[in-house]
Amino acid sequence: MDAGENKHFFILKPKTDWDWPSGQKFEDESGPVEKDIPQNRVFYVIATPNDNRDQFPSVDYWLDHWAWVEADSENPNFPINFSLRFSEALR
Amino acid sequence: MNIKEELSTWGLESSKKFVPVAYYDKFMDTIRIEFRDCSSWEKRVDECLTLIFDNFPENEGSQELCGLVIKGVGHLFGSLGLPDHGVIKVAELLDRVIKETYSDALSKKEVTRAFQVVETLDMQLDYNLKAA
Repeated sequence: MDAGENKHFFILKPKTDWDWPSGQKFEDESGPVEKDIPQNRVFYVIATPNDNRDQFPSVDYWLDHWAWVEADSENPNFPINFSLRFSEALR
Repeated sequence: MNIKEELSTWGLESSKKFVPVAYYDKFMDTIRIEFRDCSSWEKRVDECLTLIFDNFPENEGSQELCGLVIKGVGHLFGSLGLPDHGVIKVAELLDRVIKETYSDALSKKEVTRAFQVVETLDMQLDYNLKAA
């Protein structure tokens, strides 16, 4: 298992989102459709720092997961309840 | 280059239609159960459970469930004596995990809804199907 404390969360507020028309992924050549970003959401990427530099010297992080989540009501550029969920802010 | 040509450069020309899927992600120590394939957002219920909703539901303003995530699987399954290999029914898995460990979550309407969807789909979790 590798789900310990050593995870970094990159928090983003992209200018746009992309989605496939329902049920049409890979069905034709139209591709995904650009959308406005979801309201009151931020995008985050969970990454694990590469601790195997000998084998993968050019890799900084392994990307584990990414998703939209609710934005914090007081700090809309951060995830909801971020102060309770993250131990340290790296800027 | 169109989308199919681009996919073929990644060896994905034989991509098939999405089907509901449940898999164990060992890097996140989570089980992800996905009913629909769409742009989505995640709502944390508690330290064990996250629900996934459609970002752009057909009925604007509604919350259309796309899936759910069970977290801390290694510890949780050990304490419940659940198997960590083979194939198990997702409905049975949720029944054990939620009812025996996180019964408080069942008071939330959206968690009950997730149960209903999973039972309808009769999904299985195959530990051999893992995230990349």
